[in-house]
Amino acid sequence: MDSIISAKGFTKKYSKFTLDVPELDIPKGFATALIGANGAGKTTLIDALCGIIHATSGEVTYFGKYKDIDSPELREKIGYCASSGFFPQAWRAKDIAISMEIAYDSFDRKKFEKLCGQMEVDTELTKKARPMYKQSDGNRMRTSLAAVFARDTELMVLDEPGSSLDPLMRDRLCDRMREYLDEGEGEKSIIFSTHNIADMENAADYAVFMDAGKIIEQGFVEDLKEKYIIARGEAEDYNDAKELLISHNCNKTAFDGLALSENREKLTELGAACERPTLQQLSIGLLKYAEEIR
Amino acid sequence: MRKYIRDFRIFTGKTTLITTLWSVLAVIALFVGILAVHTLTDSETIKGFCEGFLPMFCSLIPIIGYIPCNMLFNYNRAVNPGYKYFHSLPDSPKRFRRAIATSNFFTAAIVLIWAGALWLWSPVISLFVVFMGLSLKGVQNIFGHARSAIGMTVPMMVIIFAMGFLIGFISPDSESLFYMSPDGILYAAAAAGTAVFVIGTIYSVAVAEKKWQREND
Repeated sequence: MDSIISAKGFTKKYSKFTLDVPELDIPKGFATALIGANGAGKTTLIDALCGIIHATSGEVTYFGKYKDIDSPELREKIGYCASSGFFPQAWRAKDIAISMEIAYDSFDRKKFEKLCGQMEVDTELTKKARPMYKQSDGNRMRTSLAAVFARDTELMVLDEPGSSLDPLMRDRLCDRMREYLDEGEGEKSIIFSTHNIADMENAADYAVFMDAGKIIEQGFVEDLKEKYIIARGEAEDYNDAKELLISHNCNKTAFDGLALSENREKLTELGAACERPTLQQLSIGLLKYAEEIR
Repeated sequence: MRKYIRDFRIFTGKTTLITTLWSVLAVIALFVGILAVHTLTDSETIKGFCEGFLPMFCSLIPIIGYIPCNMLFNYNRAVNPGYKYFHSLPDSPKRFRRAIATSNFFTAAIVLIWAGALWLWSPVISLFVVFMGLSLKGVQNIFGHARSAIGMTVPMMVIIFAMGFLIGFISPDSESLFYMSPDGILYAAAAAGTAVFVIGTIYSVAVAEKKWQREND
């Protein structure tokens, strides 16, 4: 498997928080979701990988050859979009187009115009276009996404792109992300973060689960769905099943929980029904487990 | 030079420059209006008001030119929107340095053109503009990179008070400030303002890349 980003001993230390990533390999040609609760370190990881902040220690290799994120050639290949306040508040679509056209060789102004139209936000040609501060969070994110997708990049890094979008626009974003990967024919990759994977489940091929600054699990979504199961049973069997479950819920009548697939037979013997988890169920189960052992 | 202007535009877009231009034009229009009132009125009170007000007001025009530079410094504070965009750009430290140099060039140009135009009308006020316009810009350059701009306030207040003091010091009771010939103290003040500007600009440009890359979180 070729890696688009490979990190070793990567840390970022703050006074009250430490991001600690001993090893991370993000596969090339796929969409990778960084999943974690608020404060898990997703934004810190993204910002450190994109050179917005500097890592305290560690080494990162991009595209198998670049080591320095400050290399202009490397930055030209990466499309980055922050979760909020990406562009100055007074800016309109025209300001963004002027600035990005000068800053990036890969920026296509006509494509930006077209994408703004598709995203249903003010374009450069809109009369009395509104500045960012007069737009909703969702529209600001749409404009930012239009700007970043208007560049010809090899890696797209999107921080919480779906959190401020409505369901329809989230769906369109997922389509846009798929198109981006398809256009690249295995050469383009996406990294995006989310704390609510349910809305973007279809967009993720690879998942990295984070908690309290650490990676607790990672892998291809299909492999993870094979590795884990969701078990459901009657409350009276809960005590016996509990030891086999990674994380669990129980009420007066029934229990459910996440378990390793290797425990399927034992759980079935206890009368539990086992099924393949969704990414959402996986994320809740794993994050709950991480919270318990923290 | 083209590279410098392009990098300046990365940070300002179009809106900032248009807003700055309109602000300068609005202040010039107001200046012309006050000057017209001073010329046409017979009231000594209004004339006195205009004479006291115009030197300060003339110095305000270059100050408007500070707006883009102030925005540049603000974009290097993580709390402000745009911080992540500008820090994600290729060669962003170099571009930041060039943008600061360009903004200083433009401010100096505005001050000198404006002071040159005023020289034909009142050399005294022209020198006040050079003193205040350039020294305030110099202070902005020296303190702009600080994490908090509060430290900038005190030296700026000192300069504004010095300006008021100078006006009072050189104004004779009988003669209009507008028609006086400048004396040595005004040339010295203008030279001091120029020196503060030059030092501030050199410092600000020299440390720009380092300040852009510092941990700012």
